[in-house]
Amino acid sequence: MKYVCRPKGHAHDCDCGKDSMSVVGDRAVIDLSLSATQPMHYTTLNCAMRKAMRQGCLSIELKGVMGQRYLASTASVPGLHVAVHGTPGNDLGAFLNGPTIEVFGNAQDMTGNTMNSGRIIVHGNAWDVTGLAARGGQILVKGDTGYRVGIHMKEFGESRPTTVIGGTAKDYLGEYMAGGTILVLGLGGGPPVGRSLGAGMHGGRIFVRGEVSPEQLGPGAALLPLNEDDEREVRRLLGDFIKAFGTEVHQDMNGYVKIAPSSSRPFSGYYDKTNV
Amino acid sequence: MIHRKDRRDRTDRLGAPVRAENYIASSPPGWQGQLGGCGIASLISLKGERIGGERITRMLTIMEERENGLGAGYACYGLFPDRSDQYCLQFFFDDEEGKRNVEDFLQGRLDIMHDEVVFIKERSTISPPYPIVWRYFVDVPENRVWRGDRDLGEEDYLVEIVQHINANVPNAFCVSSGKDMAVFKGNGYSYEIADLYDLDRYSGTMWLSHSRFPTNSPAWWAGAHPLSLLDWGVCHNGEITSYGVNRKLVEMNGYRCTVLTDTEVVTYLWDLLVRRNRLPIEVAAFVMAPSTYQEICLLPPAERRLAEWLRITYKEAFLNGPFSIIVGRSRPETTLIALADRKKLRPMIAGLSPDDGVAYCASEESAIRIVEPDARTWAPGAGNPFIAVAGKGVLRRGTEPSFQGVRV
Repeated sequence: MKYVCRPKGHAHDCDCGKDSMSVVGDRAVIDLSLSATQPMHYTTLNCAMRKAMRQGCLSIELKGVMGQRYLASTASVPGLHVAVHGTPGNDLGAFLNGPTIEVFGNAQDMTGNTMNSGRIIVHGNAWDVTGLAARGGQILVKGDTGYRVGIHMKEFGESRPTTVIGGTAKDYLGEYMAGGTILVLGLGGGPPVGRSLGAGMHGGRIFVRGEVSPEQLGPGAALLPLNEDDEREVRRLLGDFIKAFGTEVHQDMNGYVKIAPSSSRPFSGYYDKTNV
Repeated sequence: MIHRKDRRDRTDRLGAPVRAENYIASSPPGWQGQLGGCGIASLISLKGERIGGERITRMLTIMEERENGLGAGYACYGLFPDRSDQYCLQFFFDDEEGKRNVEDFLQGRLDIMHDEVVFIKERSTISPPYPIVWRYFVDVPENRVWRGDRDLGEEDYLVEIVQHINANVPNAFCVSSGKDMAVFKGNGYSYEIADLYDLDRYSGTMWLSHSRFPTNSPAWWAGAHPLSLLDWGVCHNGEITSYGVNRKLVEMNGYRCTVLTDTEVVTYLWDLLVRRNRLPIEVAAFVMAPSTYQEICLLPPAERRLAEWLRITYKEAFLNGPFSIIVGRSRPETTLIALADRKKLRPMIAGLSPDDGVAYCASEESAIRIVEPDARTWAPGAGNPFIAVAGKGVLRRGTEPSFQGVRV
């Protein structure tokens, strides 16, 4: 087994990041190619990142990331910016609470797992199950995503997660969705969304730029036109997307459709003993 | 309270001892919670060039998080250019007696043209005993093969021999039996197995690899992936919950299950569907991971008839449950197939090198990026096969509609 840091408490003494991290002022740079162990284990990398956060860093730059999991998970420093160069592994920014993560490359599965607040910007593709169970914050993906994106997103009070996908999403987008907003732009061609769209959703809303046929909808989802509030929200999200990636997107609201729950109880009758 | 040592020996209805330990509130020794899921990685040279084993080792070991040290393996295709027309039977023997047993059995049944020990670097991190790994290059004697009445060929004969050895010959197990390929596997971490066999010494046009996180069968050397029969090699991440039905189908067609794991059945299914029933690869993939009837209803009439016919004819070959598999074969062409289940419940990323020379498939993108930083990557769709052939290129990216270009 490779060297794995097993931290006990927050003030433990370890060598994580000793050979690869440099801190100047409130900026930290972790270059994984300088590490003595190759590839660096994710516990070592996360331990070094937590050290930087404890030292009050507001910018952490990771270079040469290669499949390390759980990066910046549970990070909760307000105003922190994490730049990831390379290919992060699963569960990037899980339980994220405030910081901004920017990925210059493709993200793997389960990006932003159960994130609470903050922002994840992916300048590439983010594969399956992106933004699962998000409770707040924002995920912006420039390219495509995979299956079951935004599964079980939820909202409560002021916390309202939003996900914008520049490219396409596959099947089961917004499955069991209970709140929040997903916007799919379908830039780059191809059908913007797959099948079983919004299966079992009972809250929240999905906006899709392009064609969506009724056969693509999952149980519990309904196709609706956009109202004025929806158009305002789509414009706001488009603004976020354009600001993050600097790409031009048409502001014409005619090309969008809305998918929303057809009822607040999509499986009413399925498991109801009185309805046999 | 009854103490464990006071318990009477249990037997089943036939009187065989039942050895299941009974743990109640205290956990079994060595038990620990683990996160994981098998890792699979593969690469194929589309120009037919040879690629060294260190490349696939780097691909697989970067996904160390997906394994727990209970099995890993590699399959190399295009390995024996000098003996590509002979079957290479590669064996695990417990001891010299196993080797004698096999050689006695093969006497007169197959012509052994050459045999050699497979190099093993004994290591302390993998706990002994190590098997004796031996390979035989064999020809099939023509007079043995003739079964004019049953339309069986030499490959069927070889399947019978291999499965008989695995089921009946003690202390021996045939891990691969194809032409121009061999399987290197064992019980350990991916980097340990690569080091044990010293994979750097081998090169081939295609490599498959697998690091194991066993879920429903024990860890043993012969049970590690890739599981192989003839020139089929299958690496599998996930579990097939329809195992019982699928197993009945292959057993009815004459295969004998000796590893007792779902991946073994998938291997026999590929052999049954593609080699024996001569289905095109895209069609066999549809049979294993078919569309739902709701989707089939939306297909054009001819394709819809084909899809319904396949679902009805091969309903026992439908693999239910989460899986992503990588399949290789060396004949008629060296082919790499990658397939995820129809809901894409296990990860699969494909990639292509910038010069279109090498195609990759792996569980995680990092496995591709570590050997090809500038690769173009994409995700093949659910139940949609990725197919690449050495010397021809990527025939199917796994993003096309089902049955595109298929004529049956």
